[in-house]
Amino acid sequence: MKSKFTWIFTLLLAFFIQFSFAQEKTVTGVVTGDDGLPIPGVAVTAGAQTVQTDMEGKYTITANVGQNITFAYVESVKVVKVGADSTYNVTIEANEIQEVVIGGYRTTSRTTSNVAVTTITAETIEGRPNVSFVQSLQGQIPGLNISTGSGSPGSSNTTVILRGLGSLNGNTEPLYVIDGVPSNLLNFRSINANDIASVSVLKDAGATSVYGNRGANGVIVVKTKRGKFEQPLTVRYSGVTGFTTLQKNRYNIMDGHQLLTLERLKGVGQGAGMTDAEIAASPSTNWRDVFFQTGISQDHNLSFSQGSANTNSFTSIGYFKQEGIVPSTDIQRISVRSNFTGKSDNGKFNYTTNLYGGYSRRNELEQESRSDINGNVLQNPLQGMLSSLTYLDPANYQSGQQLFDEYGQPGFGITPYMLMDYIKNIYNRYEEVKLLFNGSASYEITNDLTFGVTGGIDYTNSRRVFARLPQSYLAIVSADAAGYPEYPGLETQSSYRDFGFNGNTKLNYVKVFGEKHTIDASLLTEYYKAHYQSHAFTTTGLNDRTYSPGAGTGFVPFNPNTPNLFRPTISASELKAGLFSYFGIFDYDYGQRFGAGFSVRRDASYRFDDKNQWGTFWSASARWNIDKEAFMQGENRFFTELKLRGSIGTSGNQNIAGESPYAGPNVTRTLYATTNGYGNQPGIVVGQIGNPTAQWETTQQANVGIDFVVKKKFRGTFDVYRKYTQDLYQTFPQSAVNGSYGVLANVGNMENRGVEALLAYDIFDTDDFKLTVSANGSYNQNRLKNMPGDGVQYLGDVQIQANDQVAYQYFTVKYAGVNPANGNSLFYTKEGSLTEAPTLDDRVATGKSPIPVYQGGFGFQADYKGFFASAQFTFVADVWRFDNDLSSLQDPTNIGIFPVSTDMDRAWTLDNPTTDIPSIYATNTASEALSDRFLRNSSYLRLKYASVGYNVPGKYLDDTFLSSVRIYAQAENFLTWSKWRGFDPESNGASTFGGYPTPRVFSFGVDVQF
Amino acid sequence: MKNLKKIFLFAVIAGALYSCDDAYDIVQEGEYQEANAFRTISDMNLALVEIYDNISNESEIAFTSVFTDEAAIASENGGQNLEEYRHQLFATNSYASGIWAQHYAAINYINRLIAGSENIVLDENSPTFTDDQAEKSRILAEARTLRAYCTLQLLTFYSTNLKDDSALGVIISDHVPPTLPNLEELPRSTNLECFNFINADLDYADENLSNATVTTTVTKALVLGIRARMAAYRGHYTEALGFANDAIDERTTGGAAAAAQGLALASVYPDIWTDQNNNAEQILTLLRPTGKSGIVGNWFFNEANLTGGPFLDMDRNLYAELTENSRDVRQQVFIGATSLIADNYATVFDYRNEDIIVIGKYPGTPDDNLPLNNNLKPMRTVEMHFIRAEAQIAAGDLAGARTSINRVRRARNTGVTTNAQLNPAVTTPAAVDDMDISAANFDTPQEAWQVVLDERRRELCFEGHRYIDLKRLGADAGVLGIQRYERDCAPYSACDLPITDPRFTLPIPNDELNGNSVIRNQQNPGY
Repeated sequence: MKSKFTWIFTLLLAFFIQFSFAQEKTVTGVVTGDDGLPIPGVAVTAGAQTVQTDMEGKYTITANVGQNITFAYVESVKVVKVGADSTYNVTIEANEIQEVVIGGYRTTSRTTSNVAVTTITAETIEGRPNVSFVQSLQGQIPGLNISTGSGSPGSSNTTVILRGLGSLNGNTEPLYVIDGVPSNLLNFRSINANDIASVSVLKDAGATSVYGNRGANGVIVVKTKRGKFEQPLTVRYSGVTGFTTLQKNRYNIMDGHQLLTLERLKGVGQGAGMTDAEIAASPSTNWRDVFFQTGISQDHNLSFSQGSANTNSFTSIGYFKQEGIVPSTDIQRISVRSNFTGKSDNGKFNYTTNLYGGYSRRNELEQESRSDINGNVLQNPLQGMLSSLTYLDPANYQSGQQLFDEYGQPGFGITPYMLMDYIKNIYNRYEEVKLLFNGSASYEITNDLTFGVTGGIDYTNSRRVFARLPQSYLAIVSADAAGYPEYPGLETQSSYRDFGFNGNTKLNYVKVFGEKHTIDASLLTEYYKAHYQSHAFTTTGLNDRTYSPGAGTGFVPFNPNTPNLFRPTISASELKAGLFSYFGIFDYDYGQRFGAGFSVRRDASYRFDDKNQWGTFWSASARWNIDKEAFMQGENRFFTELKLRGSIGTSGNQNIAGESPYAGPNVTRTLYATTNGYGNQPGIVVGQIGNPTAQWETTQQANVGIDFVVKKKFRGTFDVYRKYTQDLYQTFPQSAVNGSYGVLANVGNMENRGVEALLAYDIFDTDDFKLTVSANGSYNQNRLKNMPGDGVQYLGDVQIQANDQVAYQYFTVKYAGVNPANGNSLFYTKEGSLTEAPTLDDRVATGKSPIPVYQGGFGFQADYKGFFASAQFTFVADVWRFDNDLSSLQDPTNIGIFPVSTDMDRAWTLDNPTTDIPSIYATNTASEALSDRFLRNSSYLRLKYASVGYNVPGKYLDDTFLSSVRIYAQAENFLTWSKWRGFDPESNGASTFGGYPTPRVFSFGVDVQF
Repeated sequence: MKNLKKIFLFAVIAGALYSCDDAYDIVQEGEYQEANAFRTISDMNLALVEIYDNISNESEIAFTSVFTDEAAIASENGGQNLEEYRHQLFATNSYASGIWAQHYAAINYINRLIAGSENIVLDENSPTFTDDQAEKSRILAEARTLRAYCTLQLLTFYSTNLKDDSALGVIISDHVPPTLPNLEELPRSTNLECFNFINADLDYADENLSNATVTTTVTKALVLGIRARMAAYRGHYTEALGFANDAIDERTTGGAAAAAQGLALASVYPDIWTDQNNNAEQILTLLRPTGKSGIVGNWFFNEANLTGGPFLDMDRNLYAELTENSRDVRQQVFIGATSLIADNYATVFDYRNEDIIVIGKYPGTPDDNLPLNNNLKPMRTVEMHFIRAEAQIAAGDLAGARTSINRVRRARNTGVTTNAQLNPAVTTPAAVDDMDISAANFDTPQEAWQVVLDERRRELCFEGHRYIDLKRLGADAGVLGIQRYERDCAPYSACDLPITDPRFTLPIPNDELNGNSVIRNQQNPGY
């Protein structure tokens, strides 16, 4: 152990020898706005010293070479590093924070950044009616694909993939770093998005490699809002009220009369043998009105920020509530944040603390956490609209007991009533406490050398209470079947506590040599340790007189005379995870014309065997600021900025068994476990067969990019990259004699290649009228390499992983249409002939996958005399998913049991032999499961976000206590264009079957400051 | 001053590095490594308990019922088992995959027990040495019998032709396979090699089994029963007859009246299926108490009755066979009392919803509050009587075979109330022998084979036999294929499956082929 660190100290000593070469000088300059006019009153800070610009925007300050000068004005902050020059004229734009490039463990100016980073700021996140800020990023960042699999309020079912899939079995989500502390958060429902100042997405190896063990899928750096020094108290209130509704679908479900008529034709179900008059007299129900609702959402935030000479603070209080579009689902959250910054009088010692506490409570459907009941018409109300016969009358349901008395055991015929009861009487509530405490301190030992520490605690406590209430139909039915009708119901309580600590120490050395050579070097260590505990119990048998969900009352005690009744089941777990790293970063700049950066990181993971425990990750990056060259200068130069940059490097993924740091905590060891054996006697069995060779997944990435600004009006970024993930930890197929068909092992590689672009153009930029249009897009090609076995692995019947092909590729029999002779489905054999009975051998590779190839967004922002409007479109293309809901609505064997689409009116008959819908008597519809008949293009273009509003001009507020007032209206998921017929083409799954659609949200907001 | 700063700095950095190895040298609480798993005989017993829990023929029962002609698509079917019902049988089929995996998992556990037992060295000077040694051998004998059972089940479903010793059998797994990076890939052995492997395990069991007679664990009768079944499947009927007789003898000395030759009278028979009697006719009973998988769920969503969500019901042709004779106790037991029987079933408009024959063989144990659970009965003495009959036909003793069949039929006759009346040689009132097979049915060997096949269908339905029975006896019996009722199968184009169809052997599952390259060119024909 000790020997591994020897060389750190050696290096440190080398730095110590060069203390005390500080070069102090006077720096002057002018601060102007992007309109070219000087800005007075900008706070200019260098170390301990803060001055303000005068009426002409001029400042004078003493600073050291290599030191940062901070320019702060209202919401804008700009940092300039003092180099050889003594004059720094600064332009602050409306959205100046983009000029700061937030990188790994350090922040650089845009000019001296070598890496691929995209930053977006508060205004594109604030006030949007999304529980998680991640959803608001969609379509704003090239290369970042965000897909939401569930619209349930507070759902964690959102997939974030940067530059293509990075792993098959392991974690694919980027690392989130909040205020400098890596977080093991997997969802952000408990974080208040209104506290966020900026989100930066680190993409290339130059930026992510320093995150070593967790950086392989990219890094998302989140900064929360802070106060400023020398700032009077500012109070801000913002409030948003919204309405969430179901998006449209084009399934065209038959109404009651159509359905009965079809049933009569086929001679099945209730319609069999009915007369016209009977059909006409039957009810016709639109189950959409029963199983979906308009939800109301509210978001209120109050924040205070202020600063004195040596301290500043930001405090916010938030309340958020959103009702889901499915009755009984909602989330409420309260949150408090307190960010504090302080420094010593001489400016050498700086510290910050960030305290956040959030509490959220949400009611969810059980389906949200159980995909096995997606198709369950007794337990998934999301099937309610798609699977309820439209001639049934909702008035037939009154209560669970009434339903049981009248209809007895469950049957498909009472689907809607069972689900109405489910919504009413199944209780599934989660409560989550989230605490994020972190802080940092730094001390300038000399003018060149700074020592800093950062530490953070990430704490989550979650509790779930799930109950089949005693009055629920499901409880009554189960109790009757198992013989305890007097005490129906069950309750499950489960809770977990997740505690993570992350600590960094950093020694930073900045030095300018010979006026033009600047080096910035850091040595760091990182320590991470996490503890997880959980426990759960389920008890059956509730006494409805005393029972209340979660209260622990009304549990019927176990009685030895009825050994199979009222037996509680219990479980508990405890897990630990940890990482340790030491690493170095070195940056070199030559007169802001050239620059290079290097990093190397050694990481130890708790998960691997001794010989694989440590991994080494490195990166190198370089830039050429072409605009700084003499030949690019001149009065009317075309490029105001032009930079070429490139990077190459590696990063690792130690979360090989899944997103969680706790997944697969001992995969290297063969372990025995105590079991509930034969006849419920205790037994032992090999619970895990170890793989001592398990190791890191390593991603190597090369990136070349250009950043440019043309005539100060047109800005853009292009990037080209290749990512290569080696040693994918995935199921290595093995013979069943080993006890199972697969063992997880590091086999196979995966390649992602792509291009990204981000462009923005200020069409108008006057005092009265501003109009900016922007667009971004990316293309990513994914290919598997060196897959195990013979290079092909089958995932179920219709997907494969094959060499040199896209991951999760669909592998299906080609559907040929309807046989005009008999109305059965026809398929192509592998050889291309037609068959009614395809086999597995007839499947062919489609080249299609559920992961989009193209994605991006475009939009505009306009501002006219205080009125503003913005729109943001997002698109994804070349993405394919199975529409199993549609399959069910076009399945002739469902006639009489479930509703079908009016598409069935086109079904094959002798008189209608040429059609796309098989006969209602078709006998081979089961074969369609192997085919691509319901594999649909779910590409879409969507008006993801639109807003209009009014900023009350300052002159109207002069006589009031208010300093700014803004009112606006906005829409989320407003319009969608897609071939997909279901509720929502956006999803992270390969198929849709009874899922929770993402809603459309309209909202109104007000924002006042005083 | 500068030195002080250095000292301060070093102190902080050293503090940060101090004890950092606790971040990555982590063993989770409660890890129990394999090297410690087997230390005493009681550890072996614990492992044996879990092995028993992994022995099952439930998947074979479920698959056979829906793939052959025992079950049909019922009113509450929302797509369940349609693939199997329509004979859409591919190498990815979940039953093909599951049956293979489940038996090899059990065998893997058995091999680990055998390997672990070698770590347990008994103290020769201990006063309990002899007992300990016997106990250790007894545990291994039970485990090896179960390994033989699993291997034979695999052969039954995956070997193309058990009568051909040189045909491909299954993989012989007789040791703990090495883990990564030294994974093994084993080929299929021939049937003969598999039979020899099974026999070696059974020979060991013969020598070391105790005289226990509780059918919920391995008994000597089970060893004999496995031998008899294997010999019959191989067509070695002389051997089969001997083993079947021995198994019956072994079973009857264990308590059941010898006169009944191990058969239960009709008055007791229902208790076998309601699990009130685990000892009546069973050779092996596998307990399925609370918390264990419920076999009823293979045909019903909630409960074994008409309103319990039947997604599969009984094929009407099987129903017809069961209802041939009103005294046949099997119709009361196997056909659910809540069945919805349409008198005009042949013409009724909505046949699927108006003629629902509830499968009653596994009624659950609602009295024990377990509506979906029933014990499994992988082997019963009645099977030995059928094997005896088959052997007699094969030897040309048609009269003897008729006697054997009639003994079974009398046992199922509600008019027969004493063990003595089971003997077909005994002259009895009409009420007793009206179920007897007449000599006319046994005129030719083919007729005799057909009677045996039909009787096996009646008696052993929903016990996982029909698939292999059609395949191995169909040709001799002149039965060309499955015998589904037309109105059950026609809407699914699923009425015909000739016994010569390759789908009467399961495919080597795709999952196995993925991980085992040497078996890839040993796939069964037709897949």
